[in-house]
Amino acid sequence: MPRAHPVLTLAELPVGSTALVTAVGAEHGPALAREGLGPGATVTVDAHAPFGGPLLVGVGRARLAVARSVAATVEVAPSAPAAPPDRPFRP
Amino acid sequence: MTACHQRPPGTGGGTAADLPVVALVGRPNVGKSTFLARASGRFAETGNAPGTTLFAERRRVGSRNRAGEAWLVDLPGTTSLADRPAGTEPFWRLLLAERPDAILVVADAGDLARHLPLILACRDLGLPIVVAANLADEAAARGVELDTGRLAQLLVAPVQLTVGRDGRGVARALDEAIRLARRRRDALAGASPRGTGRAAIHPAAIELRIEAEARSFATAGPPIGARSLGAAAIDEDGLGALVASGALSARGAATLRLADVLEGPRWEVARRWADQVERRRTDGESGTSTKVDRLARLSTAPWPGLPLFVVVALASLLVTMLVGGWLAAVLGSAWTAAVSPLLTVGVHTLVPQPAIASALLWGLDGGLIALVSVGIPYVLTFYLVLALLEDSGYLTSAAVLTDRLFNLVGLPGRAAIPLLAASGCNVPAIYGTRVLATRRERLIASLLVTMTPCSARSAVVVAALAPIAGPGVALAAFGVIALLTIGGGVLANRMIPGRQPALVLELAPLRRPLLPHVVAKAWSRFEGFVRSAAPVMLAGSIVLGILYETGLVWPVAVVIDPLVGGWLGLPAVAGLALVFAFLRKELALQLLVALAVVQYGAAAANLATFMTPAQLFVYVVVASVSVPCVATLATLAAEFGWRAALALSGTTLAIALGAGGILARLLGVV
Repeated sequence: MPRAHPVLTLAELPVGSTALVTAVGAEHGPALAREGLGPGATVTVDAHAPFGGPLLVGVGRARLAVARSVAATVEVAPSAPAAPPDRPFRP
Repeated sequence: MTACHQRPPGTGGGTAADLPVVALVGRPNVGKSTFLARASGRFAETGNAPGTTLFAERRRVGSRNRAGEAWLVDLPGTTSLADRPAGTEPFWRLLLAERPDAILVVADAGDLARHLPLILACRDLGLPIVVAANLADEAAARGVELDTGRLAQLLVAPVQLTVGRDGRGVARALDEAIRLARRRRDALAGASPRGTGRAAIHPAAIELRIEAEARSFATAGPPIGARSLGAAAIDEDGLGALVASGALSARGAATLRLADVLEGPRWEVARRWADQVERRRTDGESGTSTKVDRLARLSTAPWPGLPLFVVVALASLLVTMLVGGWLAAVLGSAWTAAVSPLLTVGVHTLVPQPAIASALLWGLDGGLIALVSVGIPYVLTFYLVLALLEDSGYLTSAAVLTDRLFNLVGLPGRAAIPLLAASGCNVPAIYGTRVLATRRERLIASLLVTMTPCSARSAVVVAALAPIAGPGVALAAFGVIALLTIGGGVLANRMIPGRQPALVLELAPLRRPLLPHVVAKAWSRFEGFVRSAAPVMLAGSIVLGILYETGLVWPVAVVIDPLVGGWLGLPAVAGLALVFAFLRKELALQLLVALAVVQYGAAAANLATFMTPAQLFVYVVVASVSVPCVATLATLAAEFGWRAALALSGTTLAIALGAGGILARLLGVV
C-alpha cells in the first residue's frame, strides 16, 4: 500500500509522547502482542535506557522494556497527549 | 520437567491419585507464588522478577469447608498459553501435562485489561476456570474498583477478589476451584459428554476459523490411550492426541493452534470488558502508588538510575563481603577451636594408619571448614541480598539499565544477576543462569560465570600478590582477569551458533519486600547449594588428601613440565598446584606453599624465595581463569550435560594458558 507520508515508528517517538499502535511487524508481532503492544493499544514513551539500550514504554498500567530494533517494527500514529486516568502526575 | 512424574499412578483405589487437580496460572509478577503460599500454608520461592518459578510444583491442599482436598499445581508465570517460560516447551504443554480438572487464573485486579487475554485463553481450553482478582489491595489504593459480578457474568466463571500478601479471599477462590474441579472429575467418571457452553466472543470470521480448525480435530486419526501423552508427537504439536485422550476439547485445541491469530482479538475483548467492569475513582487517594510509580521511573532513567545502580551493586558486594567476612572469621575460629581438635583425635583413634587418617582429615576437617568458612558466610549472605533485591522488584530495573552493555557479549541485562552471584560462588551462579531465555544465553553466561573469580579465588589473588607486590598489582591482576572474562564472552558469542532474541520485557513493579519470603527464598537456594556443592567439595578434598599423603602428586610434575616450565615459565610445584587446585580452588595458594616446602625445604614457606612477583602474577591469573573447581564442573554437567561442561572448562583452560604464556613473555618471566 503506497503511503503519502513516511511511517512513524515507536522508536522515533520523543520521550513523553503518547501514540496509538497501528501495525506491528510480523517477526516480533506475537511477542509484542502478548505484552499488550498490538494494533489498537495506546503507548507512552517513558524513557530511553542509556547506551542505546531499550525503550521504556507504558502500556496501560504496565511498563515494558522494548529493544530499539523491536520498537522500530512498531508503527504508530501520534495521539493527543491525554494522560491515562491512573497516571495523574504526568502533564 | 519432572513434575508430571510426581503424580502417583492412578491405581483406582488410592486417595492421592483420585484427588482433582487445580492448576494455578498467571502472568509474571501477579503474586502467584505468594498466593500459592497462602493457599498451601507454606512459602513457595517467590520473587518480584519474571520467572522465578521455573518448574511446575504440586501441593496437596485441603479446603476449609466441604470442597475437600485437591492437588494444587503451581506453574511458571506466563504471558500467554503459547509462551515458552521454561525455555523449550510451550506453556500449554506444561499445563496439560499436569492434566488439570480446573484452572485457577490469578490476575491483577488493578490492571484487568492486561490480564484478561490469558484468562480468555484458559477459558477457551474448555476446562472450568476460576478467576482470582489478586492484588486487590494495590488496586483499591489506586482507586480501581472491580464489578466482580459483571465480570463473572461475562466470563461465565466465578470471580473472587484476593490479596495474596495477607490471604484475603484466597481460601474462597480455592474452594470454588476445587468444587469445579471435583464436579468435572465426577462428570468424567460418569462419561458425561463435554461441552464449553460459553457464548462466542470474537468477530464472526474468527469464530468460523476456530470452528473449522476444531472440526479437523474431531475427524482426526484414531484415539490414543488416555495416558500416552508421549505419543502426542505423532501429530506435530500433539494437540490431536490430547483431544483424543479427553484432556482437551476440540475447540480448545483449535484455539491453541490459532494462538497467534487469537492474541490480538483477545486483547480487543479485554479492553472492551475492562471498560465495562472497572471503575476508577479520581480523587486524590492514589498518592502513595504514584510515588512508587515515579520511583520506578527514576530507577530506570539514566539519571539518577545509573548512579543508583552503581551504588546498589557496590553496596550489595560490600554487604556480602563485610557480613560474609565477619561470619567467616567467627565460624572459622569456632570450628578451629571446637571441632578440629575433636575430629583430629577422633579420626586418629579410629584409623590407626597415619597416612589414611591424614587423608581423611583433609576431607572431613579441611573440607568441612571450607564449607563453614566460605560456603555458609558468603553464599548465604549473598542469597539474602539477592532475594531482597529480587523481591523489591529492583532487579528488572537494573537489567534494563545494563542491557546494552551485556548485548556486547550476546546476553540480556538479566545476566547481571548470575554474574553478580558468581563473585560469591560459581555453583549457585550457574543455577542462576536459568533466568535467561535460551540455552545459548545460558552457555555464554556460564562461561562468564566460571571465569569470574569467586570469593575463594579472589582471596587467592589478594593473598598471593598483595603482601609481595602490593595491592596495586593485585588490582591489576583482577583487571587482567576481567578483560579475559569479557574476551571469553565475546568469543563465545561468536562461536556458539544462534543469535540473541530481541528484548521485550515487562518491568516488575517496585514493592516492599516481605521479610519471611526473602528469608524463605534465600534459605531454599542455600539448601540447594549445600546439597549440590558440599558432597563434591568433600570428595574432592579427600581425593586431594590421598594424592598428597601418598606422594602420587609428584609424577604428574614430569608430564606437565613442558607446558608449565617452557610455556608459562613457572616452577614445577606451581604446575602441580595449578592442576590440583581443581579439587580445592581456595587452596591454590596453600597447596603451592605446602608442595614447595616439601621440595625446597622450610624456607619455601615464603613464596618470594622461589617465585618472582611476575611469576606469581602469571600463576594467580592462570589459577583464577582456568578450569572451574570440581563442584562447578559437576554443576555445569548437571545443567548442560558433560559435553557442554567439558567444552566450557576446556575453553577456560585454553584462555588461561594462552593468556598465561603471553603474560609470561610480556613480564619477562620466559
